This record gives sequence, C-alpha cells and structure tokens, in this order.
Amino acid sequence: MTRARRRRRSGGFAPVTAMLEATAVVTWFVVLVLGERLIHEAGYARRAAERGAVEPAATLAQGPCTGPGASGPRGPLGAVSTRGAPMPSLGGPIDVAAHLGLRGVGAFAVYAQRPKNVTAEAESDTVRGHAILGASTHRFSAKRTRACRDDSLDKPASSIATYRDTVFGRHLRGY
Amino acid sequence: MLTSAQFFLGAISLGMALFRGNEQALVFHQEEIMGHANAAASRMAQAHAWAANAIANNNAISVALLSPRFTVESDTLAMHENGAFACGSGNPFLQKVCAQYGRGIPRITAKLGWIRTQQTGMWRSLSTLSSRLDAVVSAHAEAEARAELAAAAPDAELVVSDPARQRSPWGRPNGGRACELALEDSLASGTLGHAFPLLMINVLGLSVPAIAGQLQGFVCSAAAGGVQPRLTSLPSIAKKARRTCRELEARLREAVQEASYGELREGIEPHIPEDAKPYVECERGTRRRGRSAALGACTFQRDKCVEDNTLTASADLAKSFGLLGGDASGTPLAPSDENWNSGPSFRVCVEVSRPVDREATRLSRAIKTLVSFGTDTQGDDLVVSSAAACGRWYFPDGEGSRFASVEKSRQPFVAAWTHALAGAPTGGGR
Repeated sequence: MTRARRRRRSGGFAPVTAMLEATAVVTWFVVLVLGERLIHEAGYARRAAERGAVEPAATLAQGPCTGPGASGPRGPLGAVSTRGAPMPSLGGPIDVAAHLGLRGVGAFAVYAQRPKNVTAEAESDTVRGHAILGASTHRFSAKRTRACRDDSLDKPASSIATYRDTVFGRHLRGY
Repeated sequence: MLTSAQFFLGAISLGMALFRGNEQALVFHQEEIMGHANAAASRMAQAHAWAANAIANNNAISVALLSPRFTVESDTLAMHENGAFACGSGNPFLQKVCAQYGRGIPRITAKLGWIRTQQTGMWRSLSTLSSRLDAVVSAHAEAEARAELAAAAPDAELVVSDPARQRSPWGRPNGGRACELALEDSLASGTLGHAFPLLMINVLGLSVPAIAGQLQGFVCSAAAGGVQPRLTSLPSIAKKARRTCRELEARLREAVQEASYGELREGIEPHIPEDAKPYVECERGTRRRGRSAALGACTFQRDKCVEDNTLTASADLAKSFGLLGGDASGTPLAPSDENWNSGPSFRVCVEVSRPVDREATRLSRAIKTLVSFGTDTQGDDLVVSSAAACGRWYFPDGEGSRFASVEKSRQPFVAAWTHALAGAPTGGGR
C-alpha cells in the first residue's frame, strides 16, 4: 500500500536514487560485456594471426621450400628464404675432389647447398577498442621461421658407381 | 547509492576480466618463445643434416676411389705375374710378351702410384673433414639462430645443448664396410682387367676378380676380420710355397737319415732343421729303432707347410709390392651410435627464455593476492618464461620413403639425411 501510494504521489516515476542505481548497475554490466567482447575479439584475432603463421611454416618446412603454398586468414603467407650466411666452405679436400672431375655427380652439390628456411607471417583483421594483448595499431601480427627439408640429391643406390666411373674413366682406363 | 555488496561483485568481475586478459597474454607470450625455440632447433638440426649428407658424400667418394684402386692393383699384379712367366720362358712369342711388359712397366708404376696416392691422401683428408664437420656447423648454426633471435626479441636468451660439440657423432671408423663396398663395386663394374687393355695377353689365364678379392685383406686390414690374407690366385705364390716345402722335406729326410746312422754308432739325437720343426711329427721312442725308422717314424706335414708358406710368400709379395694395411686414422666414418635414427647423439636441444611483461607479472601477483585474501603476496614465479625444443637428424628409411630399401650398413654412404623437430626433453616454461 505504501509503495503504491508513493508511486501515485510521484506520478508513476521511481525515485532518482533508484534510477541512478539501476543505471549504474546496467552500465556496469554493459561495460563488463563489452570488455569481455573486447578480450574475446582480441584473443580470437591474435589466435588467427598465430595460427596463420604457425601452420604454413610447419607445412612448408616439411618440404623443400620451393615456394609459398599455404594460406592463412589473409592469403598466401609462406615466404621461402635463404637468409643468413651459407654453410662453411669445406675447402681443401672438396676442391681436390672437384678437380678430380667429381663435381658433375649429383650428390656433389650437397657441399654447396645453402640451407633454406621458410618464414611465415600473418596479420589479423583490425580489432576494435584499445590495443590489448600486444596488438599494435589494432592489428595482430605473428611470424614463424622454420628450417626446410631439402630433397635428397643422392639416390638409394648411392652415387658410388657414378663417382667411380668418373675417377676410373678420367685417369685410369686403358692408356 | 551502490551497496558494498555491489562494489564487491563489481571488483570481482573486474578482477576476473583482468585475470582472463592477463592469462591470454601469458599464453601468447609462451607461444611466441616456443616459436623462437622451434626456429632455432630446426635450424640447428638442418645444419647437422647438411653435415651428415656431406659426410655420407665424403664416404661415397672414398669408396669410389678405392674401387678403381682394386682394379689397378689386381691388373698390375696379373701383369707382373704374366710378365715374370713370359720373361722366364724361351718361347719366342712369350719373349715378345716379355718385351711388351718391360715397355709397360713405367706406365704401370705411374698409374699405380697415382691411384694409391690419391686414394690414401683423399681418405685421410675426407676423414679429417668428416670428423670435424658437426662441431663447425653447430657453432655456425647457433650464431645464425642467435642473430635471428636478437633481431626478433632482443631481451630473449638462447641456450643450446648439442652433444656434437664435445664429440663428433660420426666417430666410428668404417673402413671395413667401405672396403667391402669398394670390392663389390669393382667386381660389378666390369672395370677389372681394363686398367691396361690390350697391352698384353693374359698368358697364364689368371682370374683378375679372384686376385681383387684376395687383395682386399692387404689393402684394408679392417675388412679382413683378423684372417691373414693369401694370394693363392697367383701361381708364383703357390709355386714358391711348394718349392720351399719340398726343400724343407729334403733337408729333413737327410737329417733323419744322418741321425739314424749316427745313432747306430754314437747314440745322438737327429738334427731336425729349425724351420722344419713345426711340420714334423715323430712317434715317441720309434726314432731310436734304427735306419728303418728314418722318416717312416716321423711324418712331414706337407699341406700345413704349403699353407703356411703361402701365407708367408703372400705377405712378402705384398710387402715388396708396397701394399700396406689400411690406416685407421684415415677411413670413412659411421655414426658412433649404432642406433642413429633414435639415438641421443643425433639430437640437438635449444632453450629460449624471455622475461614476461612487467605489467602482466604485477597484475598476476595482484590477482593472486586478491584471491588468497591477502595471504599470498608473491604471486606465481612468472618473471621469466622459457620454452625448450629439440631437433633431430636421421636417415629416412621409414616405410614409404624413397630410401626405405637402403640397408642400414649402407646408410652412412648415402647422402639422403634429413631433419625434423622432436619432442622437448623437459616441459617448457618455468
């Protein structure tokens, strides 16, 4: 009875304090929900970027790194590189072997092979809100580098016979 | 206005949101350093696989140099044998062969010297190279990985655990197997008998492949397996051994006969020649019965004598021919660990550590303090986070592989080694 009387007296409106309280609570929940959504979006975007880099890098590294072939959320991502210094030169004995005419045999190229790596980079879509979880300019980027596996230059029967043919034919056969 | 309960709920929900964001940041941080560890481990394993291929190729070249050496050595021995026979004969045709042989000697010597020098020199150099390669490429790959990490995360640290730095994983001399492969190749290649074609006729009809097979034990002692080699394919060896034994037997017969006469007169022991003693067996007491017991009571083991003298004559010929045993310091190498495809010596591990973001650490500590109602103010030990990754290199002989048919003992001679990431030995992160 008292509440109905109060409402009649205020012309159907709740007291200001109650309104403020309700507004504050609702605003609070709205902030919480928006915050959750922000974190979710940021986490999702970063996860997409990470996956976009990890998966192509792993896939391309299984092969001889002949070129970009995988795609992530933002198109082709894998980039093959032969960055860095090549393997150390083997010098003396290999130069001698080369002068014996062995250079032409397929497996000989192993000595000069440069290691290939794949570097996959991915970038997420733009995320709203402040830069959180390491984002810069509202985007997430991820990068993964892996060493590739080159195709063998040798054959299952090995190159012994080919090398022998060269050595024997060049200096030893007949006169 | 807001009640204290509403404040409390608000604080809790705010804390939970911060906690959630913070946890995600930490997970991504861990994932990032795991990526760096994987990159470094795969780079190092790749370098070792490259070294393994270079070593396998060194081994293949070593075998390919020894195979023609078998050919040239066997052909040369066969020529000397034919030449000696022809020159010792009065037959006019054989005299022509002898003259042909005489003219060919400088060429034979030069060719033999060339292949011997080339083979022994290259074996030694390639072996030295193979034994040092893993340590060199490991240091090289580590420097590369460090430079890359410094560019991506300057505050990160990298620790490498690579057994190849202390001891080469390719530490087992494998000259015996290399020798077998070289002989196999020489026999199958059809090169035997073609180092000096049409120079002269094989008047004795010698089997050059048989000579090559018997030379194996002289050229590389590791392949002989402790058995002393004999050059029974060469008639001069058998002839020399038989002649030596005939002479020994004659001297023995003479000595026993003399002793029997002497015994009859003065009772002295017969004097058996020192070099004949190993082949004489006498029945106890019978030697004193007089002349009838001369050699009948003592037996001369001719077969054993011929066998031993064949051995001695073979060794003498090999020595005069300049054939020395294989040098253990210069042989092709195989992995020290027999189980190389899963052994710890074919594995390299890397640990990357990086400080966690200071704000994230502080937040984590505050949350822990809050949920413990103020009793725990230290928080988790999340100042530094680390991740470990390992890489391995191996021979791809698994089912379905192009190299599945390569038997294990041939794998160190085939340059098909590859690499992969392997599980970390311990959990990542601390």
